Amino acid sequence: MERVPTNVSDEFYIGWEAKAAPGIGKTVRCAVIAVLALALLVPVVLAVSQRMIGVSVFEWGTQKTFSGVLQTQPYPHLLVPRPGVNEKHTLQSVLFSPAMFSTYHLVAPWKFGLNRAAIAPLDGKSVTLKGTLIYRGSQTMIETKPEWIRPNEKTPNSASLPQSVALGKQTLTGEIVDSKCFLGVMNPGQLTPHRACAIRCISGGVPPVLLVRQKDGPAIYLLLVSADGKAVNKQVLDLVAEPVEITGEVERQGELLILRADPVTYRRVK
Amino acid sequence: MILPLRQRHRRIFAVIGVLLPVAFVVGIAARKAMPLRAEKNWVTELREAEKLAWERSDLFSQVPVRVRLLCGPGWYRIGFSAGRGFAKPDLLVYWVAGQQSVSETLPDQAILLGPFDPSLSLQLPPDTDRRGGAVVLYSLADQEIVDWSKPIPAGELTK
Repeated sequence: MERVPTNVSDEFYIGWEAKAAPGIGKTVRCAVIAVLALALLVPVVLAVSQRMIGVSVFEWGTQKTFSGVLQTQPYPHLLVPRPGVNEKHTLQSVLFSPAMFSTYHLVAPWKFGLNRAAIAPLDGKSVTLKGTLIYRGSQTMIETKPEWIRPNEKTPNSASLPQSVALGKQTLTGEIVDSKCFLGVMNPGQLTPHRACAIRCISGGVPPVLLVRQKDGPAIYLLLVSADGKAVNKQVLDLVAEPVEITGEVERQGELLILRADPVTYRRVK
Repeated sequence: MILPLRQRHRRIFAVIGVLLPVAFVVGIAARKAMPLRAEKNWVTELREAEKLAWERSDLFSQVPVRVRLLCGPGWYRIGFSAGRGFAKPDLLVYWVAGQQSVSETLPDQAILLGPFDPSLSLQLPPDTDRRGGAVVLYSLADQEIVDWSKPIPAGELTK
């Protein structure tokens, strides 16, 4: 006759029994306690380890009126004269910035840049427009429409408008972002989670910006244009939200920093 | 039949229980970090021979802004740091010399020092140490004074 082994502990869970077998009960109790502890701990650890998102604002639903000089190149923007400018004093106080004007980027609602052809007749003229503010740090943007831009009587003094200042050839590494989302419409409007949105915004004409994050100091924003100063929206789409290295000529136009480089020379950083 | 199945399931779950968290952690760690520029920012100014004279957080009552005074041979500069969450559109910094009463509009004699940027320090006008004055934060986009600092007497600049 075959002997049944007596040292095998083969407990079996039976749902309708009032009490589980001792081994199974102990294991389940330990597992439940461990899962509960993890359920409390993991969210705390994940929340604490998150990077803080930047402070950026989109004044959705609030329209304001702005006056300044409309510029369409390299991308539409409004130059708003700053009151209280003492040119002599300001030039020595703020390096590289004449500080005569504030620069507000202009974009259209939703995922579109401002139609340059529609505002071309107003290029270089004093205008008043209404729109919604978007801002982050030192960067300001207005969401507006061509039909909301009206010419002013005043003629701007073209001599006081910011001139282009060449800052030389630079090699910069950063991320191509769509300026509208990054400055406040989306938060966070950067990195891989925002890639699909950024591609749609840039293909819709929102100015592409190279965001150069710095170890010590604020991020630098450079508007991307081709070597001959044309918009590069269609050519940069494959590189959006990726680390890229761009070598090109940097120039300053008032507060704007512009990076001129042929998009075929942009290099994805491995 | 039941015992071998249970043993197999136990082994499968043990392997998956280890592999999945490891795959998650490896995936997170393998993300490509965006590069940081370590070189000196050519936009910010050089800060040679400057010394911190004082730093105060009580100058502004409406906004969480700390002010630091930096001085060098024959000049004064002010720098700012803002509390987290503080954001105003196109915030500009003005200096109003002498004893001025607080007003809701920007005084005619207000001198633009520059944009409010914690990475910059802004040079005060040359006669600051004789007259003293106040710092005004003005949002050009909102066309409103954000805050007006307590007066900074000339003596506080020179001590």
